[in-house]
Amino acid sequence: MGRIEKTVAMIVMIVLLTLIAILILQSVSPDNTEGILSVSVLVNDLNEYTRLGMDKAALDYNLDVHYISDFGHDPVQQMTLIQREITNGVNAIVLEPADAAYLAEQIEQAHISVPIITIGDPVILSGGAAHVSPDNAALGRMLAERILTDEPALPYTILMEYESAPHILERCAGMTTAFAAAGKTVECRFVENEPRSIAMQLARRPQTVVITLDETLLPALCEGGRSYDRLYAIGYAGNIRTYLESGYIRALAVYSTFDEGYLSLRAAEASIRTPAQKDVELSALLVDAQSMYELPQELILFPISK
Amino acid sequence: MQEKNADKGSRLASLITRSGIRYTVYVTFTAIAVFAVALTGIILYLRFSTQLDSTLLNESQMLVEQVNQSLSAHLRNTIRLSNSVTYNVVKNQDITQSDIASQLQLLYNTHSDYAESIVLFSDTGEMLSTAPPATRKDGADVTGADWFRRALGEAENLHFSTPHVQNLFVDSQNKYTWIVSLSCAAEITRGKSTQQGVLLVDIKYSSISELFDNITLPNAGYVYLIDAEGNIIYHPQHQLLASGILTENNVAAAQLRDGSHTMEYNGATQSVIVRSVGYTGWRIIGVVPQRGLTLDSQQNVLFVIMIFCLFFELVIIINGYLSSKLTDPIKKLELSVQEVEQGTSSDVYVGGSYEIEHLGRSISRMVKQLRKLTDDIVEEHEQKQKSERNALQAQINPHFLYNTLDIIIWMIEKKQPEEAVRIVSALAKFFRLSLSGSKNIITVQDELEQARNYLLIQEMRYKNKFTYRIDASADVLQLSIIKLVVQPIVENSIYHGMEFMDGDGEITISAYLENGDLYVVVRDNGLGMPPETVEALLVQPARAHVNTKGSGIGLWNVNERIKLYFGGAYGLSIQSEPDEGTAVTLHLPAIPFGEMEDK
Repeated sequence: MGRIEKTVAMIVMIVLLTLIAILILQSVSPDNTEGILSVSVLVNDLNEYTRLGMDKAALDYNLDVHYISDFGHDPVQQMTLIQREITNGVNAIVLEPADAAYLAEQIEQAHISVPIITIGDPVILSGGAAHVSPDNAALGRMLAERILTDEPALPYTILMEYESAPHILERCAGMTTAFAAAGKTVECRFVENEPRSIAMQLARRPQTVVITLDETLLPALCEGGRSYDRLYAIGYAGNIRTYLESGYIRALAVYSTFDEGYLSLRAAEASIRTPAQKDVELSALLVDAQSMYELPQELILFPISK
Repeated sequence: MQEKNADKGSRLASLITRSGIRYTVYVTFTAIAVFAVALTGIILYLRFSTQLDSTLLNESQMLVEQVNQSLSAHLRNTIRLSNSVTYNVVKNQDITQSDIASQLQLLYNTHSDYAESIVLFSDTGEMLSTAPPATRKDGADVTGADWFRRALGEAENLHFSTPHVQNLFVDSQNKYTWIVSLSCAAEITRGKSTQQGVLLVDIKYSSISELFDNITLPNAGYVYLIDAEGNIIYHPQHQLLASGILTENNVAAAQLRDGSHTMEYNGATQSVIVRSVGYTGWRIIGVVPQRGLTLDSQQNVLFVIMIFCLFFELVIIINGYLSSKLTDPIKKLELSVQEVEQGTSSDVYVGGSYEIEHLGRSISRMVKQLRKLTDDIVEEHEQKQKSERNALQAQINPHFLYNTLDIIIWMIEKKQPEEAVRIVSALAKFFRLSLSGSKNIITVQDELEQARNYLLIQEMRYKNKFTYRIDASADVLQLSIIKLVVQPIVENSIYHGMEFMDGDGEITISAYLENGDLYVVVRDNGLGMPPETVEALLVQPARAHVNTKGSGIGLWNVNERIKLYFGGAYGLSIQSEPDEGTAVTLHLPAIPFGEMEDK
């Protein structure tokens, strides 16, 4: 063979061997194995609709999902559970942090390489962690603008639980900013999640617009509140349907908790295959008695389940 | 442009010509093989893709049709339930007298797997009966509901709603149920009066969604259900569509007729299968993404490239071996021919394939033939030179000259000046012709004149022992003949034939054309020769006895020179009979003087 022919043959042989090596590596790479991926969900008080979304995603993406929800908002316990799940060979973790700052520090120190996806509050990691949530400040602003339209003259009171999570505080900030921009003041009060306590709080107030920033206080607020109060809230739970339907709750700013669950597991699956996933922002909308049975609000308040 | 193309073409042809045969064969074979395989691969891939697409589409169509049949059967059951209530329970029964509730309950129990509730309303929206029993929500006014108005407005039809949450009845457990409502007008009898009412059969949405839940089409395709306006009734990603995270092309799909279509949506090409569902105006839409049906994944692409590289490598190696096998013998042949050209070798390579071997043998034979011809030419040249030298020598043969001068002196002494002048003149002419060395080809006329001069001198020398005659037809005089071919024959005739004659010797030279050739015959009536002597005369002088009395050129010399000039078909022949005489015939081609190259 001539020199040129030998050169060409050598080049083609190198390309061929490279391709063979790539194909072999790809076929035996653990990251590329077909089959069921394992995801652990560490969320205390998992919303039923979020769970519904997660179950749908598990079916669509062929995931084995392990739900853990009995760690009682204890970040130390939550971290222990994270490490346990990783030891058990989980491929990704979805969590709602009990204490985002603490978990971020602990995860960095433990050099955890498993993809972390968060809902509720984000966990800031150097390696990145996808976060699925609505724009909480925008939620607050949206509801504030609706309240200013409905009740421009009444005083406004925001009720929050003690030690509210950062995303709740973001909603509060969005709301107070909107009120301030309109030249209104809003009072923030911290209450215990208990109907009598709330009723006592509100008994001392004249007619007022009462606002709550998550669905945990809402049932107690409905039971303990006065009928002439104007009640607005962020978030929805199935047990306040009749209050919304009757108009007792004037309006809700909601986002799809089904989507929250579905997209968090979808992000987990994607993170396993391709690291460095982006955050997912959930869209929000206002719901009241007139629109709750119209699309798309109907599907958000009442996700279709099997 | 044409000139440029022609220029490119000629450059390419020049490149091919300059490149070795092996390189041209190698590149051509490899390019053709790669092109053929690539073309075959592409054609097969396209064919395979088309067939696979067609198969997958057919499969999808069958699946969609199966779902359609299942859904239609389910809806028929629902319609039958509605008809049972309308015609067997409500119509022609006085609701004030009959226990409609228990009949409704019975029917409900029978169909509770898909029926959520069966409710009978009056035309004013009053709830007359319901199964299962339920408490209506306060303020739930049905008269404004679309299903109610359409049932009363189009009494002859059944009306199916889009899916919605049932919100007519109180649910103490805060549960919700998605339903599809079937409503129709029902004739209600109360006492003696009849009125229109509305029958509402709420179908569990799950009974419809279950028919679609496990249906997947090829290439991650899916099936969904829309109404006539394109509103989604069922979609595997209904929730994500509601929140705007995903979008669907349902409105456009609602415009399509039943069948298979190709649509572009969000930058992707889809096969869309449409089937209408009976009774409802609904449509089942099957979506099959067309992207990546066959060679989509990176692995498949890499695999194809790997196979192509493997084939390419094999082609390079095999073509390299084959082209070498074919062209190495040609190279060896070329090298051996070069060596023969340079004179460093005399052997031509013979080997390789049949054609190369045959070529080698042919070249080898040609080389040998050329060598022989060259040797022949050299020999002829030498013979000619020798003949000329001999002729020259003969012409200045001292004996001939001495004898001739003796004759001249004798004639002068005898006071025969005229005879002396004749001999001197003849001698002068004889030497003039003989010593004109530059020409080897002369006319027949000149050659016969030479012979005449010679005969004149010899006649006198031999004291008129013989006579001579020269006959030549006019058409032969200007033909070409080699110099000094007749005189040697005459010389032999005189020395061997006339010496012992007593005045009755005769030498006749005749020249004539016969069958397009020139013949010169020297005939004498001398002693003749036996056959062996005749044979010896045409033998090379080295092997024959050389006659020193004559010019020494010899008949062999004459014969060889004729053959060398004109070829083997021409030459000299001798007929002789002892005591009879001898005739020597020169056979030459008839070439006009001036047309033949002088060698």
